[in-house]
Amino acid sequence: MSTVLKISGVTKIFGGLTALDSVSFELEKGKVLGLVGPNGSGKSTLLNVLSGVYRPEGGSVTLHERDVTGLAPYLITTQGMARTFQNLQLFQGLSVGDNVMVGRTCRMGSTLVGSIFGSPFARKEEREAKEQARSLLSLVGLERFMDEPPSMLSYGQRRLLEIARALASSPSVLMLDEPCAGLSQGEADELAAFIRTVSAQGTAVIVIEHNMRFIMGLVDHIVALNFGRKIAEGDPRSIRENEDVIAAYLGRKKRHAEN
Amino acid sequence: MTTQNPSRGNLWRIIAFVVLIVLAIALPFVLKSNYYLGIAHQALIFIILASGYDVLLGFTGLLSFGHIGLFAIGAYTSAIMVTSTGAPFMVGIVAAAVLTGLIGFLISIPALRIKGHSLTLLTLALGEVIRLVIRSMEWLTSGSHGISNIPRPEILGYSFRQAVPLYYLLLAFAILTILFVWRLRSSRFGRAFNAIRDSEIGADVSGVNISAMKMLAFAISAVLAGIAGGLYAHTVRFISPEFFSLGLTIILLAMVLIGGRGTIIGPVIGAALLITLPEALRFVKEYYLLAFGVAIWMCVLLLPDGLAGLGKRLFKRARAST
Amino acid sequence: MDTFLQVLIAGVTMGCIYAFVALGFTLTIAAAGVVNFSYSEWVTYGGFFGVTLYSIVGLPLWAALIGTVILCVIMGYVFQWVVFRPLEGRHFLTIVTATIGISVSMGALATLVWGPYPLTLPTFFGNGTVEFGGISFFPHNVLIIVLAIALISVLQFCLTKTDIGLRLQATAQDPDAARLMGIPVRRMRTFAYCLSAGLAGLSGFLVAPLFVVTTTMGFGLMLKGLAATIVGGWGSLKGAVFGGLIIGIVEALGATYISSEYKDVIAFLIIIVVLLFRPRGLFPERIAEKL
Repeated sequence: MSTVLKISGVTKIFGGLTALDSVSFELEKGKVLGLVGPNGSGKSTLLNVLSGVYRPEGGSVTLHERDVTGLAPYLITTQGMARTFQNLQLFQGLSVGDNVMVGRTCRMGSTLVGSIFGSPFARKEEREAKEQARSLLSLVGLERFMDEPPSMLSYGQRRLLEIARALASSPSVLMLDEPCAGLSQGEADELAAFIRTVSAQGTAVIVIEHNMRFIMGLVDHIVALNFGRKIAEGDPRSIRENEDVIAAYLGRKKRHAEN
Repeated sequence: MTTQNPSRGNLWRIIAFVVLIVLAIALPFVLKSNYYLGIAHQALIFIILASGYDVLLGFTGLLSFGHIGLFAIGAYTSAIMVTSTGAPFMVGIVAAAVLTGLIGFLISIPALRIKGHSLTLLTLALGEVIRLVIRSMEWLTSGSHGISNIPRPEILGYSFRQAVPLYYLLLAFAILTILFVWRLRSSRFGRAFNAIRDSEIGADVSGVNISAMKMLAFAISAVLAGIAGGLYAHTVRFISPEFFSLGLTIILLAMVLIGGRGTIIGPVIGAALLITLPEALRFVKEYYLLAFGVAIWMCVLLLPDGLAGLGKRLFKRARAST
Repeated sequence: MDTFLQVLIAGVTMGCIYAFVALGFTLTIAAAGVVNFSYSEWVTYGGFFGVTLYSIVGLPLWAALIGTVILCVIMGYVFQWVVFRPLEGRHFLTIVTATIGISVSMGALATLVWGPYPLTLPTFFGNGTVEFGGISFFPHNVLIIVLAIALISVLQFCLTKTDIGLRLQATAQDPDAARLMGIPVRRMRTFAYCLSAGLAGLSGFLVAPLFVVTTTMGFGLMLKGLAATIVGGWGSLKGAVFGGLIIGIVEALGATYISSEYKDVIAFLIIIVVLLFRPRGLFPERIAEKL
């Protein structure tokens, strides 16, 4: 059991609203976990808590047996947990390659003086960062855009860029927030294959997604949320047949059909 | 928006930079009179100041309206050190750089948790308070009377009292500043600054220590302001609180915006333009101001990348069509 | 005790002026999210229009006041079309810089039109003082205070009880929702600009007799108005009024009992202190958390 990430009793309250109610689960190395649930079930909130954007009111998040609960986002990334955003937070004023290199910042230690005067250490770091950016971009098929601005990329390509940036910090856990949104079927399949490659190399992945078909074919394990609570957990097949999950989704669907 | 160009673009830049330096070196032979050289002195000093300001504004996206206050601290520090204690010029400049950098660093601390317009207003208030404090500390600064008879720079016995040698000294400082900012931009720090500007949360989750980087940006721009201030004091030889006004803040902002923020050449163009133009149009001062204000307005409305951005776009179009 | 009361009244008077300025300034922030740095010139032009209408055109003073407000409202309307519409949706820095540029141009234009020398505008009551309850004060100051109370009450009434006032509030709080409810957002914003300009004209006209009318007259007022806005709470109309009064009173007390040298610093120190410890001001508007 090589548990990389342990989430225990995480609770998040906004004013009067309990967005997350004592959510707990674990993530193993090299596994892909799908986080599912209807709109408003707390998936994005949980991701924000895990990445340090929100501080939970209760519970703990443990990464590699270190408590990272409530740390600032950049520290959590330094500890080895990186994420992407549903609504994309790219750096429009930097080239595609530079965007990825920013992701590596937390692994670079050159001083300002060293960088300015071109110390051997700084130069080596820059070279390595650039090479890593190049290889990550070629992994997602964007190498030819390395020196172009992100505005040159299609929406699907920009999502891939954000993932490449997140991978630049060599994380142990990669968290993807609705990575499929806006992608064509073909692009989604490519993305699934890519995520499989990443996890095969040892990175644990958490995927938040609505697209059930995408999730089912990709993940090893599913955690289902509804109204901020974990309602089910298990492998894809058992979740698909889980009554509570079906009710959570279908319940909404049924009301939808009635209107 | 500017991005890193491929290496061929870099070659063009280096060529352009070298050409610019050659022209700059040749300039004193064209401008015979001391009067015009004096304008050139000011232009070079403001190139340093504007470049530093752009590190804050163009690189990191922090709009500070108090930068002139730092400029003033640099000027007064060096002036007081040299005139009161007889310290040599370089010591004065270093003292100016260090003290101003420190104060810039201190200012950045409250600025960390304040965003947007509040930051601008806080720095505006701080800049003005600095100026008024300088004015009121008469025992140190002679208040409104200002400090006069500040000696021209002197390094290791060599005096830069004459206009032409002073020009080359200032040019050396300006070139070093530009090189520094250039290197900064292509370093991990420059990338981090830009990241913060473009998406603070994106930078945060990418592992950038936002607070540390902001403080660094403030400190760097403050150090450059301090150096520029010290150079200013020893060039014009007289400083008073009235000069470091909010009006000057607006001019500094305009330099960066019209020249092109976030670029290396932008502040250079902006500073050179806004120092030389008023001189050329001195006889129509009010009309100049009228046009100046409209130019600022039009520039931010139509040319968000300033003249440098416009130049780059034209250059790209020319290259694409050949 | 007499002096204290007199100082207090002087402070309240200036506080009312600052409140007018802050109100006008905040109106555009609240209604359109626009920080109008050319507001200082709007106030200055209020003074200049007043002088022109009174001294050159020869209107009686009260007519000059009305004329000034009308001219300023027109100016606000023109600004909405020429300046603020093209700037809609643009970044905060862009709008700030553009309005600063316009402010510079307007200042230069004022010097070209009205000349570089300070002009004067008299009060309605001459220069004498009036005795009441053992204290002497200037009737003009009383007028300012009375007008302030009247105007703010009227504004309060209009905003909360009339149709157009409620629509304005809706536009300010959530323009998208307002649009969906059929509120003509652009027209509401134009209305806000005109109202803001009218207040500027009024402030300029009223403050002119206290000092002289120069191109820099509005700038100092706008800074104080800015301080009032920060103290009161960004985008809060109620805050603008209280902020203005607080600044006016603190300034007057400070100038009398500490030092008049430092009068200008006071407003800036207040800005700094408030921003550091209560960045949202004393009466912050509750803005919904967008998650």
